[in-house]
Amino acid sequence: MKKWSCAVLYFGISVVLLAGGAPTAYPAESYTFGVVPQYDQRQLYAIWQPILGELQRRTGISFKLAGMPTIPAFEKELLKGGYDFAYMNPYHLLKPVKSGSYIPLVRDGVNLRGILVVRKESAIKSPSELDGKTVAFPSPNALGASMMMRADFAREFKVTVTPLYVKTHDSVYLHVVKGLADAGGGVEKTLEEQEKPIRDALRVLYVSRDLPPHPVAVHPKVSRSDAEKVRRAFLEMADDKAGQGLLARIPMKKPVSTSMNDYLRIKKFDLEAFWVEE
Amino acid sequence: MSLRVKVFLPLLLAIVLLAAYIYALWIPRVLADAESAYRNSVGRHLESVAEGLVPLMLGKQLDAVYGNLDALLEKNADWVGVRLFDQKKRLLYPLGASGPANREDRPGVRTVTQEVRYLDEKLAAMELTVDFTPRLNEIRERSKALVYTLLAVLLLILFANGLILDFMVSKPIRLLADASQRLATGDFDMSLPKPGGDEVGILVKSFAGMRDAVRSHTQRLSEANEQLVREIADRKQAEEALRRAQEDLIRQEKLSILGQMSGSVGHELRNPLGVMSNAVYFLKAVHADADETTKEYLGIIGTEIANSQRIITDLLDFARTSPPRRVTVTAGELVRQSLKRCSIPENVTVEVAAEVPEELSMLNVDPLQMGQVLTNFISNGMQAMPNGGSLHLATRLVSGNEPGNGKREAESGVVSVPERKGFIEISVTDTGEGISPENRKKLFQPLFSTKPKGIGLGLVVCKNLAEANGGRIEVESEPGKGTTFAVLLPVEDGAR
Repeated sequence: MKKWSCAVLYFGISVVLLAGGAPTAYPAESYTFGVVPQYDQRQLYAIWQPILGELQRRTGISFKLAGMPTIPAFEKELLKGGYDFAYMNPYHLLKPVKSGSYIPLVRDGVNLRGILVVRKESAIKSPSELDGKTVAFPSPNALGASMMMRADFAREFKVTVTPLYVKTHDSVYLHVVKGLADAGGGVEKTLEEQEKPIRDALRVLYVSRDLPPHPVAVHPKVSRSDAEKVRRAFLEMADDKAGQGLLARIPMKKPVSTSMNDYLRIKKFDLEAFWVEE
Repeated sequence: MSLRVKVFLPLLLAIVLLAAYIYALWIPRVLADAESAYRNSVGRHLESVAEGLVPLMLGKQLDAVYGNLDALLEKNADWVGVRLFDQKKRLLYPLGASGPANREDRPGVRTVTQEVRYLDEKLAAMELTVDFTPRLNEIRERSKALVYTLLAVLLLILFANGLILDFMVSKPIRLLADASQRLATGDFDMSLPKPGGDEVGILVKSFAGMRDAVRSHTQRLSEANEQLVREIADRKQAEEALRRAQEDLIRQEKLSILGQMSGSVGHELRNPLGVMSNAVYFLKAVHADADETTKEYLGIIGTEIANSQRIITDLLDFARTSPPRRVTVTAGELVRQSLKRCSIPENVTVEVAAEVPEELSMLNVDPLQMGQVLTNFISNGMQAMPNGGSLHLATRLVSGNEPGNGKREAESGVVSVPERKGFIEISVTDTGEGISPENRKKLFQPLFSTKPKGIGLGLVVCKNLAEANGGRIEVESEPGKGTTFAVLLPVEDGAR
């Protein structure tokens, strides 16, 4: 009887030790991948789902695209550390996150520059002529398209514009084209992504200072090895044509490895006054 | 107009009218209903689209609006275009000002409008141009396919009914018509269609009944006709027999009168002739030295007296045949005695031959009567050969049934003679001119003669004499070759 009792006890202890002693693997199934909604959700899905599939093929890690319909919703989720990986606004990296700041892994080699567009036939020749006019922005906290532009409006051109936040860069350009706004703030990359009729209907009125572009960042809770796998995968995708095609749609024509040092200079722009809590 | 045309022409006309109705009224109505339903459907769809655009319009997500409308245009092939206006009627969508509005002039393109409202505020107005043509064409084609199928099925049914009508009605009627024609010609053995339970079957049964009745009546009429023909023939035969009997009776009466008159006249003339014959004989004896002319005339008178006496003898023999005085005699004796009594004319060259076997059986006949018969045969044969010839006499034994050599015509059958009894045939054959078939039938009729000086009683007397002795006479003659007269006499009973 004692022998049987001892055997059961040893077996139970073994099970408990094995269960408790096993290393904690995060995540057990897949990582969430958030994408700042610069475009329509359909477009985002069409761009990023193939990329995540390619990443999974290359790293063996499973990813789940976590879409958010609006930038504010995305930012809220980001501030909560809700994404394991995220493609985000550069300024998002500078925002404190309670669960730990995101760590940039890769970015496009070409810097981001904010632009101010007007209709091609518009009589406006300078941002200074936009005083009192309606200017469309994706969202208040879009770094290049909104915060930098509003900062320059206020500090460089001393004009006051009426902001019209239209959620996405595409919407900004459409508002300008359709005359719903006198001008619109965007970035060079998203303007290049527009269809030709839209690009042809717009004229770049002003280009802001350059900024490091949107990074793919990882939350600190993700293991370093997985983070490195993802970084390498992005970099290696640029080595073949199929990968280049996928990355070009982000757009990220030439991915390079990056770190927080690349983005710290944004703090020198002193844009905090133009950050809007939503 | 055939039965098939009469039956199917109205049906065909009905099908044509049905097709015209479908084309002229039914299909346009179906298309109008389909267009109305489709317009309602598009309207409901547009309402849902407008509902979906509300948050996008409120959030000023023009790109999302574009995305949605682009996607809708891509998915709905029949959507020609969508235009979206804001509250100030500024065109928000599509990007260019030109667009689908110009296409409304096309037939089948319709415009449906829908406001985008939230609470009581009008956010935008949508104007959707839809091409109804594909949908209407589809319905039109389906309707046409339905109509064609319906018409094809109806025509197929019509064709099948035509075949059935032809098989069940026209063909039996044609057969009945053919049968009627054959029936009219008296042919009752025609094949009729197998009768069914329908009206045609009743007609076929009725026709078959009529055919059987006509056949029965015709058969009865035919039998009655045959009976009538037989009766007519019997009546004609009876009339003929009656006529013959009357003729025979008349002839017998005439012959009886003739016989009586001949006997009386012959008896009365025989004595004067005898006297005249004696007188001629006396004169010849007394005037033996008379001149030649006198002698010649006396010879002529003697000859004519002899002819007259022979005629009178024939008349007497004809009038009264004496009962035969039978004696046993041979055929050869009869032949030889007859040849002695006959003399061959001086100016005629006739070769006479006799073939008389002595071993033949004896006859029991009257030798004078049979001699008279044979003498008559020989005399006739001599007279039939005025330019000469041969006369052949022969005897032979024949059976009772044997008709000579098979070519002769028997003039009398002897009923009293048993058929198995044998006969001795005594024949006289000349090589004269022969007797024509017409004359041969009349040879034994009284008063028929082909000779200029005959009175037509010789062969009649011969016939009577042969029959009186239990025999019969047979004649065989071939014109141009000669004639055979034969008398068949029964063999004496004890001699056999």
